[in-house]
Amino acid sequence: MRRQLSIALVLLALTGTALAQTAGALTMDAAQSAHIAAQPSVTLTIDRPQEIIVDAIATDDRDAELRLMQGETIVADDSDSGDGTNARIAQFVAPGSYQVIVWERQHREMTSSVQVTAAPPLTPVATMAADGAATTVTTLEGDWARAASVEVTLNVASAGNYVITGTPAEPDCSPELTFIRGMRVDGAPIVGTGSGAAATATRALDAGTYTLRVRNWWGHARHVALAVTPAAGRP
Amino acid sequence: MRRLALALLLSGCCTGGSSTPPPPSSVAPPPSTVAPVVNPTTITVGAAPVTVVVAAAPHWSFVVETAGEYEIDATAPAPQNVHLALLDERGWSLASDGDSGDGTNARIAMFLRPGTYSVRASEERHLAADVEVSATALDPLPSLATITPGMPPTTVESPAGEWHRAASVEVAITIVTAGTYRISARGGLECTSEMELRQDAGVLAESSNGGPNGTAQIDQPMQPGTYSLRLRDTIDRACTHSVTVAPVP
Repeated sequence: MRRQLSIALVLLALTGTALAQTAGALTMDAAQSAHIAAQPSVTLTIDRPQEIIVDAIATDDRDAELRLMQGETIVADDSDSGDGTNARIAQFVAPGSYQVIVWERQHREMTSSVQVTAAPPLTPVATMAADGAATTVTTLEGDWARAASVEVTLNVASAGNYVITGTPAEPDCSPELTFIRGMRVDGAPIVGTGSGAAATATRALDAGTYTLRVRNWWGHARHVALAVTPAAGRP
Repeated sequence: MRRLALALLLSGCCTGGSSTPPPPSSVAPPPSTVAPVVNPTTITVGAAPVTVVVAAAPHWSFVVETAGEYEIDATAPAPQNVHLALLDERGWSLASDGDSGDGTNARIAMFLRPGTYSVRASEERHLAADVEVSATALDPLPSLATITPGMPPTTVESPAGEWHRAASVEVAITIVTAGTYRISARGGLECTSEMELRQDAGVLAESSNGGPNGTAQIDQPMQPGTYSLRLRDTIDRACTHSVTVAPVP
């Protein structure tokens, strides 16, 4: 059972002491009403598959947050991947209409600039074949996911099931492997069970060329041995 | 009725610089919002940045004069989905909630010491919403048992509930001799005990799995007196707890 309690509504006071001293009484039945304003939502139209970078840069001491949505689906969220506490999303997107939503982390008023740019392509650091031979790459030191990533070109001679493995050389490395083909992400990122554990999965791959994006989840430069090996059976 | 005064301050109403407060009113003034701004509606890849203005979420300050457990509710008509945050006077978050109230409404119950707090309401999907916020001083939960150090395990049953408090029960712990005591609670096969130790409405310690085999365990220096121990399942299922209190050697 709830008790009634006195609520003192204060119209013009800033300190707690002043509030208590100057309040008029309201009963619990008089709940306070307010309107929550919708946060800015701008429409982004994408006409071709591509990787984009969305930046929200706040003024003053505010902390911008970003969300990329398509319909009712949250495509990506970010808090602090930009400089300082600014927000940044790098995302492969298919043609269609998206919404970019901006808000302030502590829900304070904020003025923010928002920009969408085409992500500059990464230059592959190696080329490998899906023949089981290992190729070791060094991930980058980066303060957000894309900045910590390197890419490898993977040539698949024949369609089939393959075991993809990224084995960390260091115990504090947590590899993440992302397949990209034709500016589209192919399947979920492949991750391990934690630091020092290999990231591995079996995937059905078509013949052709893929890009394998590799990073250490922790954003530090580490060594990862990549291998793509033909596998029997279905993935 | 517990004597209590919560002073709610509608945010943004107090920045006008006037030295004379207007008289108190029983009608809440409209919440402060940033003056209407026409934000851009489209953005293009490769184009110059656009500038957007984000409105502040409504928030209220309130003063707790009497330590106790308080419930803050925020309701909005569906499909609006309100989110609630309780902040201390430094603006640090003490608790937040999305759906502990009815439907997708938000509800926080928390023991608060005297002081100034604030409550902030926002919409989960960053959409517009009309929200009602209220605060309530809660009656204490009845004590189901009294436990003293060295007693055999006491069995306490907590109900299933739709939110934490509804799934909670309390027992009293009586301490005669000052010392450090280990309080342990083991849940049944289908649940996991979580407990909160309090005295005089102040939370001293919380635990859900500090002991072996998932037992909730608290080692706490305790003075002679009566304490309250709140128990529930970690995800609000019905649970049978086996509770012991023993001196730490």
